[in-house]
Amino acid sequence: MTYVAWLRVRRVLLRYGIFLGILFALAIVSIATALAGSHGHHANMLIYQHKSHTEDIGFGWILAGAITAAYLIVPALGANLDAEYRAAAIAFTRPISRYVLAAQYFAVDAAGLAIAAVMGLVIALSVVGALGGFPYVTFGPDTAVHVVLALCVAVMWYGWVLLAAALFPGRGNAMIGVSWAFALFVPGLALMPLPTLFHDIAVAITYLDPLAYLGSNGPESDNLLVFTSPGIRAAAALLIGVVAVAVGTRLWATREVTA
Amino acid sequence: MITISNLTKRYRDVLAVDDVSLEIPNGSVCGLLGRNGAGKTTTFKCVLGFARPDAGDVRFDGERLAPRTFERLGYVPERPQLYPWMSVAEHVEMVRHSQPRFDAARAAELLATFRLPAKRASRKLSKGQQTALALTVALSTNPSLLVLDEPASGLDPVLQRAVLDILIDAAQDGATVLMSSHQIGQIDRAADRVAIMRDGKIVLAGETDDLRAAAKIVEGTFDGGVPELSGLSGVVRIERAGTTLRAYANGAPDPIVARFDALGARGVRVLDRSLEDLFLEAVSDEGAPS
Repeated sequence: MTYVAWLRVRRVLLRYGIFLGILFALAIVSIATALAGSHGHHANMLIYQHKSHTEDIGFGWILAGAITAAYLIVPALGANLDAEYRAAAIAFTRPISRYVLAAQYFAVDAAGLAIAAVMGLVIALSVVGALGGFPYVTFGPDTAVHVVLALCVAVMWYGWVLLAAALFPGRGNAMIGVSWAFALFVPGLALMPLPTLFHDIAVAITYLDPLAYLGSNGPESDNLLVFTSPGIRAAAALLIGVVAVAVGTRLWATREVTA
Repeated sequence: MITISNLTKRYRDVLAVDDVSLEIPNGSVCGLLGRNGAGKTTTFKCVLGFARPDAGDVRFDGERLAPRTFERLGYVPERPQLYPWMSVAEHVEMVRHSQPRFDAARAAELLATFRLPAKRASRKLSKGQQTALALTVALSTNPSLLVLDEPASGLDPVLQRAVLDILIDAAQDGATVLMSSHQIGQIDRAADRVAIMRDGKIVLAGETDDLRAAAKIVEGTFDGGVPELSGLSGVVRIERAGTTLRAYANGAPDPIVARFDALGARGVRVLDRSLEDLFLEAVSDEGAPS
């Protein structure tokens, strides 16, 4: 069944690639426009136009950004297993156990996420290159935790969608939409000036929001909705994601087929 | 061989399958008949492990259902469950990747028989074509066990005939076929045994030839008025039409023929009862034949 899983992921990646392509084209047009306005100076001059000094660009940040961009497809990947439920006559009459089938899907989905991250990385590096920023890209372990955090948050989001779709079989697409609404709406709710009780509830719900675990860096860090260090946030997100995947898979594999 | 023993499945307060037992030997086509909601599809789901029975047991050649059973089991559901975004060719390719017994020549033969357009997405196929694709997916491994829920639904008469021929051929090659259909003519043509379900129970089962042999119509033609007929055991229904009296019998027709003669029938003949007749009788509100 990895054949079907690959076809599914390929479709998702194709759409993601088109999206990235459009973004890249817009970036190139913007850079070209800026270059035309700078009267032939080298592109790397663009970096200096708004800064008085150069800044290093950590490769880890670029990679974490590419993984974060791939969150666009993570909910869709999380709903893939549910889609099999709707073709149960084919999926559940293969000569493999449902758990093996699920494991095959996870492997293909993980590969899909990796490919999406690489696609994003290529686009990001292309833009950095177009801006003449390659000489300032640095490699080091200091940003690795953010790459790990980005990956763990992806696992958490994947797990939530998988679990939600397992609880509401056949409604995977709806769960994708709900997950986006939840991810984007809940942090805003927690930041609103609500009465104490509602605020506390909103903050508590925030702990279920994958995006809240990403937090931020720099001076805004005081606004982190999920406090603690990036490492602990990564571990928490991974744990939640793995548990959600395990419970969702169990539900999916043992549920009676009603369709 | 498929052996179903005392299968029971309850959905809350509805007893969908009630103590169903059935044995389908190798090389046999068994037609499962019943009205809508009789429990046929639930029986299939229990057989395939899609639903967990509350009691009972299902064996395939003596073994319980396991993932490896599906190497030799083909299934076609009542409503085709395909991947709507995948083409016909991709469905076949999927079977090649997932089934160790995939037979490419057989798949090509089925695609040609059903005239399926290889590049068309399954969501763009007609209902009949979707059924044909589901059959292609199920049959392209030459399965020795076939479970088919309305396998010819939506197909045109030519393809219906083709599907039935395929099933008959499969059984002649030793396959075990369990199929349901609302088209009794299809069951009559393909099945050598039949089981009729009503309210979750099997109310009539056996080899079609035996069932027909045990159930006859005695038709008598009378001059003048048609006499009253009563007190005859084994008569489940009486019909009058003009000068003709028909007695539907479960059992030996000889006593009825003798009674007709005694009543002065001008002519008496004994007819086989059709499968449709047996079905209607089994599912009628009067209940199953004794």
